[in-house]
Amino acid sequence: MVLLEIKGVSKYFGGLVAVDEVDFQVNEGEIVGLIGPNGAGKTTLFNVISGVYRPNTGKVIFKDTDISGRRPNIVAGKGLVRTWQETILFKEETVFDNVLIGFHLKAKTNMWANLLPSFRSSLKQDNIFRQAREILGFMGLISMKDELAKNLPHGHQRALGVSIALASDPEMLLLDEPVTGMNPNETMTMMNLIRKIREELKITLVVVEHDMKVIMGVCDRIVVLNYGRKIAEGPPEAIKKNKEVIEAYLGVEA
Amino acid sequence: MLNKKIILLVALGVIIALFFVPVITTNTYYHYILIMIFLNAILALSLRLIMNTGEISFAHAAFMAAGAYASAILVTRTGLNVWAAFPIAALISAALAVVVGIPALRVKGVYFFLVSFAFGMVVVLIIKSWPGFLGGTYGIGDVPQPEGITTTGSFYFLALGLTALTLVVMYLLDNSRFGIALKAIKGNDRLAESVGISIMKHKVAAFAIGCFFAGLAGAFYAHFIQHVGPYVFDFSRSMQILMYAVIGGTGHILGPIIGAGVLSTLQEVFKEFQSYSSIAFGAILVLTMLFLPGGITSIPGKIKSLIEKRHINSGQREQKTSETQ
Repeated sequence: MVLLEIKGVSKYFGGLVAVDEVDFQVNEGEIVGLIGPNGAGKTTLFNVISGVYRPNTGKVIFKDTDISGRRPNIVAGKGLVRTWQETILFKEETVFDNVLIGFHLKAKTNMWANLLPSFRSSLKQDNIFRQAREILGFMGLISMKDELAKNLPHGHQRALGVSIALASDPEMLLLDEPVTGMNPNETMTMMNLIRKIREELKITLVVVEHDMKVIMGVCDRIVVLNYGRKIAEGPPEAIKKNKEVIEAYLGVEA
Repeated sequence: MLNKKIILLVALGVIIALFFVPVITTNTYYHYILIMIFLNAILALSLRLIMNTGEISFAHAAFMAAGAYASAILVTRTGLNVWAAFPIAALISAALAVVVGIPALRVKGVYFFLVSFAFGMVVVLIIKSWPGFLGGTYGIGDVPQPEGITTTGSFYFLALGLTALTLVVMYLLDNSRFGIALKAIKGNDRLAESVGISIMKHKVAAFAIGCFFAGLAGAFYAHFIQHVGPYVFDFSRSMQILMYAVIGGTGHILGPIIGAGVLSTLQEVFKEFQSYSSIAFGAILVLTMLFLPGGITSIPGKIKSLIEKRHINSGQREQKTSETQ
C-alpha cells in the first residue's frame, strides 16, 4: 500500500530551482533513502513534505489526503513526523520531559482539561508516563531520563530527537541526517535503531543521509536527487552501479 | 518536589497575612501603596503568560487601557453595574488581543516586540485624538466606585482578591497541557510544531488570556482612581510592567509578584528622586539582564549550584590531600 506519494513537486527560491518536478512513492513498511550531493534539494524536499514549505507545483499525498502546504503541526497530526538535521531539542528540559512534550497530540483531552493542571496527573493515568519510559528504553536513553537534554553527548541527543518524534505516534518518520557528527559506534547503534523502529514499531521511514554505509545498510530503496531532479531510484545494489549516480557524486571524466 | 511545596506554602502564608494588613494598620497610605503593588503584580503576572511563549509584548499598558476605558465608558454612559463591567471590560480587552494578535503574532522576536510597541503608541494616540468618545487628553472623570467598595480599605481587599485570582489561574495554566505547550514553543518553536503543537493558536490564546487580566487590572484602576486618562497607559507603563516581570524573573510564577513588590516599594521610597527614576530603573534593568538574566527568583537556584560546586571542589581537594599523604 502506498503511504506517501510525491507528485511532480517543485520548490523555487526566487530564481533558484531547489526541487524540480520530483515524483516518488513510499510504501507502507519500507525504509526509503533519499540521497544526493550537497545542495541536491533533499532537505528542501523534506521541508515541503513536512509542511515547513509550500510546494510551488505538485502535490504531497499522505494516506490518500493532499497535505501539500499544510502547517507542520497538521501534518504531524496526520501521522507524518520529521526529525531535524541540526540537534533541535528542548535543551533546558529533562530527557523525560522532552519525550512528554512529544506526547502533546496523543495526550489530547477536552479543552477545559487542557487548561487544568490535572494534566500531569492525567498523563500518569493514561499510561503516558509508562509509554514515555518505554520509548526511552527502546532508544537506549532510559538511564539518563533525568538529565537535562543539553548535557547529553551528541549521539544521545540525536537519539532523543528521534524519541520525541516517536512520542507523537507517527505512522511515517522522516529522519533528516540522523547520524551526522556521530562516531562509528554511535552510527552502528543508530542503524540498528532505525531497523528496530521499522521491525518492532511498524513505522515507515524516509531517511536523508550522507553516510553511504548507513543508506546502503538500512534502506530497501533509494531515491537519488541531483540539482533538484530525481536522477535514479532503485534498490541499493542497483544505485551503487548506476552510472548517473556515480557521475553526480564523482563528476564526469574529462 | 519539596522545595516547590515550601515556596507555595510560604506564598499562601503571605497572602493570608496580607488579608490582615487593614486590621493591623488603618493608615490608608500603606493600603494605597499595597493596592498599587497588587495592580502591578496582576499586570506583570499576566505579561509573564505571554512571555512564556517566548514573545515580549510592549503593549500591555494599552490592553490595560482597553479594560479601563471599556469599563469607564460602559458604567458612565450605559449605567451598567460596575461589578458586571469588570468581566465585560476584561473580555473586551481579550477580544482586542485576539484581533491584534492574529496578524501581529505572525512575526516573532524583535519584530513582534516592535509591532506591539507601535500598537501601544497608537492606542494612546487614538485616545488623545478622540475627545468625543474617549475623552481625549483629559480622559473620563467621575467613574463610579463599585457597589459596597468605597473606602481604600475595601479596595484593598478587592485588589488582593483579584491578585489571588490571577495567581491561581496562572498557576493552573502553568501546569496544564496548554502551559506545557507554551513552554515547548518557547524552548523550540520548530520542534514544537513538528510534534503537532499549533504555534499560532497557542500564542494567540496566551496573548488573549494575558490581556484579559491586563484589562481586568485596567477596569479596577478606572474604578479605584475614578478617572482614566491617556498618559497613565503610555509606553512607560508598559516598560514598568516588563521590568517587574524581568527583574522578578519569568522562570518562576512568583517572579513577577516579587518584581512588582520590590520595584514598586523602591519607587515609593525614593519618590523624592522621581525625576531620576527612569535612569535608575534603566540601570537596574541592564544590570539584571547582564548579571542575573533569570531575575530575582533565580537567585536561590544559583546559590544552590554554587554550594554544590564548592562541595565537589572541596571533596576533590580532600581526596588529593589524602592521596599525597
